[in-house]
Amino acid sequence: MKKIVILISAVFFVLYSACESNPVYFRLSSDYFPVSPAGATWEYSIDGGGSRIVTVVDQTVVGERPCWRLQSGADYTYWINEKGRLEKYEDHTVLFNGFEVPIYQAWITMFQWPLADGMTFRDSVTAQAVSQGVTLSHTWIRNQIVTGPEVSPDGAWSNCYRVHQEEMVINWIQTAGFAPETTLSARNIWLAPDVGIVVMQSADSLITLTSFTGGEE
Amino acid sequence: MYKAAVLIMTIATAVTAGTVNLVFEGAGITPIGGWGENLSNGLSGGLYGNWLFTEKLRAGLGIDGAIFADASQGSASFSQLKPMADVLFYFRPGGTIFNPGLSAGFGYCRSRLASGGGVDPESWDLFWRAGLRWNFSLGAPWRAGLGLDLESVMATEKSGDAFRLTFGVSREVQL
Repeated sequence: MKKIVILISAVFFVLYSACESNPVYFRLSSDYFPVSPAGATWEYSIDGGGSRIVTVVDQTVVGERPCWRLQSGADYTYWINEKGRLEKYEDHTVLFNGFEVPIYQAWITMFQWPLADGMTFRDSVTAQAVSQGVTLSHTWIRNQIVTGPEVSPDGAWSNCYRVHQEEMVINWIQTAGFAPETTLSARNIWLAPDVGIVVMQSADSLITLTSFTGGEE
Repeated sequence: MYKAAVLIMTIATAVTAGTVNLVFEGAGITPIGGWGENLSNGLSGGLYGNWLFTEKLRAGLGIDGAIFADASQGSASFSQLKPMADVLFYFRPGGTIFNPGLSAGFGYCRSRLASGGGVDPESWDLFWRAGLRWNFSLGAPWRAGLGLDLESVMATEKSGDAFRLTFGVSREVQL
């Protein structure tokens, strides 16, 4: 009996000293991009001056789906966070000959949950519309890779995931005198548990969360 | 691998004599709390070797593995590996159809999250389990048992709690 107790104790000691713990259950239970409830507010400082405030306004219906409406300045965006993914409603238009031509309206997946180190995902949209006899085409491709968990660059938030996004947009007005316009961009987004975006960094901008209010359920 | 070798040697040494009850147990696992929000319910399987101290009291070692899939996308999985010590107390060990019992386990849980081609750093945490058993005979030397457990992985910042519904078969082996 004594031998068994000693051996079991030895096993647990070896396991305890050789193994590392990290808050994986905390990360799994956290919402890395909360878009509710109404009243939740994020205040960001913009590197170089200025600030940006994002607020959850209310719940509404867009494209026959219930969603949350967020406001930043005069702009509204629409979000759904359910069934393991975060979706954003995109209403894309192109300015042509003084008219705003609608190209597509759709729910686009922004992130899939749960996030994990090394996770990759790719999203794309190809759409076209005809206006005044001219075909306007739009292609959008985004590749994302997730790293973490890590501390945010400002040191204020732990258990963050960094999402590196690379986007390519090709707009083409398919008539004489116009060539496809290709735009490439890249940025890093740090997402903190139950807070959302805490830092967003691109080649020409850096925004950092200065305060977050969770709103009331 | 190193840890598994230590465990196997320990089990082999611990049960050098006496009667051992070998149990294979499968279970359905329901996470409690938000950690399972993006995961489906889990399935687990375990193998236990329990030394009979008395007819009623058994204790030994076991290893249990569990897997949870993605609740919607199908691209994520979460796995647990639990080497543990367990204790069982049965009130009517010879009962043909009704042998109620209590079960408890304590050990470590290795948790691993994979999603979208990525894998988070694995975590080793202390873990406990407690539950009820209803044991019955399948015809000597085999027995079976149903059970309900509450378990908790005592991870940093938030524990991973879950309910388990178990079904197991067992037989005694003379060493």
